[in-house]
Amino acid sequence: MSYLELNSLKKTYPNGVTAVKDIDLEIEKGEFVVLLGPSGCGKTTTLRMLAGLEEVTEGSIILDGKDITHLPPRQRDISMIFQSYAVWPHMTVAENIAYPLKLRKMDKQAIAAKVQEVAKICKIVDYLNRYPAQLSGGQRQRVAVARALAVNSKLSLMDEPLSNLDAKLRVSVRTFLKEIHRNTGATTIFVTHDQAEAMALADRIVVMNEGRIEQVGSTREIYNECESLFTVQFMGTPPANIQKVALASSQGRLVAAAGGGEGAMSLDLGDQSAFPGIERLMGEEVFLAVRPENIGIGEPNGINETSIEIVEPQGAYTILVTNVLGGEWKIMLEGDVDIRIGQKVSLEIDPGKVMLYDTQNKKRISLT
Amino acid sequence: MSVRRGKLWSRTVFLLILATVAGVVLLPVFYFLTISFASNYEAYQFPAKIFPTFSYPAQLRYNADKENYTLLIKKGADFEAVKTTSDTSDFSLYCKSQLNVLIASSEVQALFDKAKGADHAIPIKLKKAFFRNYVVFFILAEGTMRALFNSLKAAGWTILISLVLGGVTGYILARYKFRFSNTFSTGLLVVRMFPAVALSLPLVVYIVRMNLYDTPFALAIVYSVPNIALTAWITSSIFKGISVELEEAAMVFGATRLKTLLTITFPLAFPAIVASSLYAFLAAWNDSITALIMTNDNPTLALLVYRTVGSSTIPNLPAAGAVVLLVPSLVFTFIIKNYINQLWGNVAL
Repeated sequence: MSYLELNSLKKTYPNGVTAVKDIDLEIEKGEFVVLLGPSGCGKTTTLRMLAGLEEVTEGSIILDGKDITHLPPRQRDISMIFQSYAVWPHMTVAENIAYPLKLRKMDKQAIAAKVQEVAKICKIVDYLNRYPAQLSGGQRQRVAVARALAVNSKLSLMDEPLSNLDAKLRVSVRTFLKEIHRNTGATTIFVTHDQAEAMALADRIVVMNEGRIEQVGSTREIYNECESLFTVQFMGTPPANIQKVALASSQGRLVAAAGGGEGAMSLDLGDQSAFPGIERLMGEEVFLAVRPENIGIGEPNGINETSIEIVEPQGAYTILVTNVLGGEWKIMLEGDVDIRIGQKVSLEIDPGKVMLYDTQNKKRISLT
Repeated sequence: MSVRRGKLWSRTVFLLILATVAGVVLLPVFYFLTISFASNYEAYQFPAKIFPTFSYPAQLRYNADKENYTLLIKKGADFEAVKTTSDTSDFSLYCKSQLNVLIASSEVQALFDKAKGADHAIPIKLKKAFFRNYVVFFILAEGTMRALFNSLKAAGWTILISLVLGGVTGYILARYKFRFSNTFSTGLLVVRMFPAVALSLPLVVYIVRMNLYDTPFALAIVYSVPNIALTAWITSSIFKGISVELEEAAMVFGATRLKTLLTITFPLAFPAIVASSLYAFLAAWNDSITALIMTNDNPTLALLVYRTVGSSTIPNLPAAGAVVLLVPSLVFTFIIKNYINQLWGNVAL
């Protein structure tokens, strides 16, 4: 039995909208799990159900062997960090951190010691007597972290805690959160719509879409082994390029082809014998997905002669935009590349990194 | 250059508008203040004095032919004879009632002797008892102190009833969405549109049945009816301004709903709620019409001033009463001002 279990969790609002449809998830003690998805995917609702701030319509939540599905928030032994920081403006930093401890009936000296301890970890010792209004956004979020840290709860919930910070601060607070998790080993559930945050922080990522879990896995799995068309399109900046292709066999080799005449696509995926059971898909149409960094320029394997429409230099890499069979494709090349707009190039797609998806259920087609 | 001139123009116009508004608001108040310090004699003078005076430049003349004395007070460049008498107590009474000057008969006798010794009018200085009108208002207008307490009681009850009932309604409107909640909050304003008199006439019957007639509490009930609605309307926007996440954070960290309300929501809303109590206070404090209907032997201060205005032909005594009426309002407003300026009052919550 896992530390935290969500069993077919469901949430329907009184107005009939079902935000969460059937979530099954098991989380081990000490794990850092990120719920990732676009807005409206149900990730925040799921977190709020865990916190007890949202009624559970169906299903159950088991934390450390105890059913907490219908308990009020205060009886769940959880801590939470909010998007708006939610530090109480009428209390000083020290009072903010001490408030949950007072509610837990800790004695005064123990509270004072605990406040000092967590303030030191979060580097806010100098601000203990200030009011939140006198602090910057980053400092306020540190107060919120200190407050959550002080209660030493069974479960630590974070609802987009970085999205109100500016880009530079976001990265540094991200590192800070990871460091804290490494030191405390608190079981953490972190909600975000930012995949960079998710990939940087998570032991496991839960990709959600329309109230359902699309895929659960490590950063590597979520990025490179996308189980659904949604995940492959959602992950990556820029996301993967998608093209509907027909599979065919040509002289013992598996070929994905699309379009005809000029600009047609023909990709050699390798020796057909390497794909057992591929026969059933011969002549069928499938979705082909390939990440921008898995496309090179040089020997044509995929697209012959296409013209570059936009060049976006990013310093460490360069993004090229070209038109493939009416769709926009992005190519990511390392370093500063000397390619001009309008230049004709041939695309070399790495056949080993290509992912294929069923056109009907949008799930990945296993090729091994 | 023309841009700068345009800016100067708009600045001038802006300042002129401000000055006009300030003038329109402050001049009547200031005029009232001056009048409230004026003696009967001064109140009859035209044009009226802008600033209150502390003494009269005057002369005393002995009329040898009639063996009496004439008091002259400076008016413009000349001196005007205002009182001629040979009786010291008559003179003293005139000074007290018409000039607000307190001078004993023995002192008058000394002045008379001095004037008799001189062959021309001697200059004398008549010092005004500056707060005479206020003293008279408290002595003459019967039961002024009791009326003041009645007013305070009525205002206190009104604030209490409006804030408790209005505040709870406001919280519900802010935090819970239900059918017709928008209609309900607009409807609250409709209640506000009822004139209090229209409410107090039918209410009198019930008030009498409840044995509450002629009490400040009964007044407070009538004042509260429109004010509960207004307070609910104001406080609902205050509570809406307090982020729900602040309450949720408290609940997640171990507080019950009630504890959250008492330690998070209420302290955060407190300054704004106190500020909104100004409306309830003013409604109770300034009303005289409802008090006229609802009270008999226990009038409020506003009603008392109203009655004094009716019984006096000279505006100085009612003016003093009005200023007395104004002072608690000002004090209350200034206390509230401090609340509004409290640290977290200015912070987006």
